[in-house]
Amino acid sequence: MSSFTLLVTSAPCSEQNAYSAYRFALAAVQAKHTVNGIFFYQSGTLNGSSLQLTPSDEFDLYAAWKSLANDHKVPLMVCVSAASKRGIITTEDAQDSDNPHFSLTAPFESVGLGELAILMKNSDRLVQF
Amino acid sequence: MSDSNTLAIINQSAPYGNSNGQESLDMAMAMSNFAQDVSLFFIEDGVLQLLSKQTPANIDAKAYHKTFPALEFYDIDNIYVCKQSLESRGIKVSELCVDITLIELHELPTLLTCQQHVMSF
Amino acid sequence: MILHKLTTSPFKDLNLQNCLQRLADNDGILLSQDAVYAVMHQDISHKLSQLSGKVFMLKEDAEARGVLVNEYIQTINYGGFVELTLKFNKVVSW
Repeated sequence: MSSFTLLVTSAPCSEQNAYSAYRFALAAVQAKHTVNGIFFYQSGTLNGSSLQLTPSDEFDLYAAWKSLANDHKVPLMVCVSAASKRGIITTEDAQDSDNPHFSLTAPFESVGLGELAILMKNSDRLVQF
Repeated sequence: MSDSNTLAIINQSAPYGNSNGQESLDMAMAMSNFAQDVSLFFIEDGVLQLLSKQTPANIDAKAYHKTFPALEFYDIDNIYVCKQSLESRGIKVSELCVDITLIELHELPTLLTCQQHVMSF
Repeated sequence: MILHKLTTSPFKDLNLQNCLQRLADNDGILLSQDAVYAVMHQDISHKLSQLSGKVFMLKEDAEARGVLVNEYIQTINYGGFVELTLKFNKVVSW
């Protein structure tokens, strides 16, 4: 069995890439491969926003990511520097910056790029979406 | 075969129309800090990022191209630029802001062979 | 041994054309998302037909768009996509 790191650099809603990444991750775990982590960078960090309100007749990618993390123990890592400038911040970030709102909650984690280096080191393949 | 902890980052986007160039550079420096052996490739519109004469402050963009000459201090020494991409845009090597290695169009896949992972921006 | 993953229509940008120019003998091409429209592009479709065995198309993306698959292209589902990334040494996303 093999191990993967997925790098998601595209926002949900505006492009198909993040949806493709989710399907790839699901197919990989269903085939008994290991997804070491999904790393969200650039506009991909918007996938981590807990403030997404998806219309009931559209696919809820945010809910799907959460199920993937909960059902298959796949870490969802959001790059803190790329996320912060896009308004994706944790409650701690919000307190530190005197901001009344936050938008990043578990199972998504706020991490530095060093976490990606560790994921990649331990993965057979890096696939970017 | 590929060497472990090697990462190729391919840059194919022009500098200011989207954030690819700047966030690719952030990625490159961070990965180098975390012990990845990083090689940078500039192809297609990506070569435009390396022009010396740029004043992005005029459009409220960050002058991140000024960081390229400092990459050697981040242990990023391998900067490859596609010769045909420069030629088709009428750019001379002397117009670039950093020392680079010229490669032919078809050399890219060969140079990627020895890399463990590849990203593109 | 690189798998080149394409996602955009060749009528919109040059990603697939540029990729074909640089393709090494052992490389493969995966047409996904809007890149499946490549089969409607006469020039590119002709070039792809000469690369038998090296061109793959994501079934879900083709079917979603009503794109008919030519016989020279192997269709794969997401499970096949996962295995394909392992057959090649690395994946480059264009």
